[in-house]
Amino acid sequence: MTSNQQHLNPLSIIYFIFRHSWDTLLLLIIGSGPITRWSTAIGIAPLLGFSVLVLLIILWHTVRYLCFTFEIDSDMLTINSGIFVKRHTHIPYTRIQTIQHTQWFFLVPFHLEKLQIETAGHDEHGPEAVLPLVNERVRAEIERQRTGNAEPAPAAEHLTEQLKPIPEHADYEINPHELNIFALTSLGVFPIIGAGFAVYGKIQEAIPQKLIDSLTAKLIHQSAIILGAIGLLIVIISIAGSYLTIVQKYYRFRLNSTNDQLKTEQGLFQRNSVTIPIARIQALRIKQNVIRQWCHISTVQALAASSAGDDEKSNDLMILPVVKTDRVFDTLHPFVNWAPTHFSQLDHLAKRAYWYFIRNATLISLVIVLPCLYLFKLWGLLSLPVVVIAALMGWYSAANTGWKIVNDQLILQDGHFFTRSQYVIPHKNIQSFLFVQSIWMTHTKLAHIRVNVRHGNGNQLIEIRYLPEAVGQQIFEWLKIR
Amino acid sequence: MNESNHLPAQIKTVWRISAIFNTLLSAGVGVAGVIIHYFFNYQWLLYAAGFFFVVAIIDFVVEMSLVPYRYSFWLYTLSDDAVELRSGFIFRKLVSIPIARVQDVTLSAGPILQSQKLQEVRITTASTSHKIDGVKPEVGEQLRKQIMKLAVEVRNNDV
Repeated sequence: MTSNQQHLNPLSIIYFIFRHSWDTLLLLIIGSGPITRWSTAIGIAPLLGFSVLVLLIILWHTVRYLCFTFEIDSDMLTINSGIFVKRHTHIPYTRIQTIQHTQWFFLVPFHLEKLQIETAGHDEHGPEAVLPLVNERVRAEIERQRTGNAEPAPAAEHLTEQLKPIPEHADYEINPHELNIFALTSLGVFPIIGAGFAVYGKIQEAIPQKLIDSLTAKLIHQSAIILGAIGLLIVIISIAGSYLTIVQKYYRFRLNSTNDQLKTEQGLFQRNSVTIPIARIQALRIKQNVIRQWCHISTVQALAASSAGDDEKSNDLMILPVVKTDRVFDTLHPFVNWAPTHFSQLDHLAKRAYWYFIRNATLISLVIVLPCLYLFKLWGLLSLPVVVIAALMGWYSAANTGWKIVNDQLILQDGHFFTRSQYVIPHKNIQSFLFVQSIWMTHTKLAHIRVNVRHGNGNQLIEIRYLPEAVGQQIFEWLKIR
Repeated sequence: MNESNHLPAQIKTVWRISAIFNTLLSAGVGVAGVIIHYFFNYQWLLYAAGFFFVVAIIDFVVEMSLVPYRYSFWLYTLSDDAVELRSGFIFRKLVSIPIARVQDVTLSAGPILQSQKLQEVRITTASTSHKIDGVKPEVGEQLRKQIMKLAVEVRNNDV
């Protein structure tokens, strides 16, 4: 085993500079005045002064690069960094949750990539270990050490073969046609269109004032057509933008499992890959927004104690970005062996409980509507559709609420903002649970059940609201069984 | 010991003392505002000071009057494999934390709790954290023992 200290690739100096480009820029702007003054005072060209500053910055990052080393030992990964404050991070291989590597297309010929390694530790600032630019060899080495540790000591000469294991193999690649539908049905486009219309409104507001005194009605009419065309263009561009973003992000998404490790791979310009041990997955989430419900496609995500994955903010680890709803578990089961084999028939709310969802959503919408009515008087009536949308949302939430206990798994389903999420949670991964009831609900015999699951660096609370008290108690008792 | 327990009665004293401290803190900020106003004569400081005085009074009244309510409706149960916390009368909440999921238990006591010979207990799972405002040292010790015992027994609670 190698236990010597290794450096990153020298190109990571550029990465450091790029990552701190804001600081660098700030330094240059703040420094511009004094440098020009001093340079002229000493009698050298200001440009020379700037070059010295730039040189200093490069030197600083070079020293950083020189101070950054890592060691791959037989039982842990050690990262040493810091110029003045020396940091040594030790990560035992058995504690690694996810290994994520990202590679820009222009780094492919050089076999260089960025490695991010996460444990279940609560580090809010990001992954426990980031190796900004290293050879692909490094990841292979770390993964070998990790899987090697999990299994009963494989012979040293077989290690190289273990890099490409064939047994217990399952593969999946995204269907381009489904990806197309997926990209077209993203609800994420609505905010963009909204923004587009806001801009459109602003232009429309500004234009007439300039035109009122000098132009004829005909011209105004013509400009309205032009503006309409621009508005339409904005909508089309935002749809296209959202579409292309999603397609390039999940381009040739691949999932495969080997030796109890799940590996995802995705991206066109930047290949992003995450490896996670299947045993570390805390829960599964099957998600679909209302349009995707109509198109019968679903998304499968994993909740895990790692913030690696799809989005830095949402910590969602994509397992299947898009799959036909009736094929979800058929596709999923070969990868996650504890996943159910088919959708369970969930228990749903009684119709009378719908009222509470609709009431609550409508009451919340009044927070927007009442000030609008107060401030804009008659024009405030325009905000009334919000009430209707809120009521619909409440109805949607109620209609999509469901629950079921299947063997040692709890299946919960909820609806938020026209998106339905079904969670499959193994009993052992529920960290704590709550039974909540207000004094009025003791009369209506209803209750909320809340379940806490580890997700990312924090907690994911899954709540089923207004279910019958008896059922709530039954679930609560089931959760109590050790 | 499976029945629900109230917190020890001394906790009421602890809550009252901490209510007084909170009030004094808020009032102190107000007084500081008045003093600075005396020297520098900024008008807004008086308004700010007034705000802090009002907060101090409201805080005092609310916290003091809620003490009996909090005491009577805050119960905990320590069973062999779970800790249950029950709170509230209007909004009732029952939390259950399986001891097998507990990652660590922190017992701590500031000066107020020390004066009443109590300890605050913080129970942390892989994702959530729960607090018992004060328990007698024996109870804390019992909790610690149970968790240690189960931690050795249960091995599949890894995240």
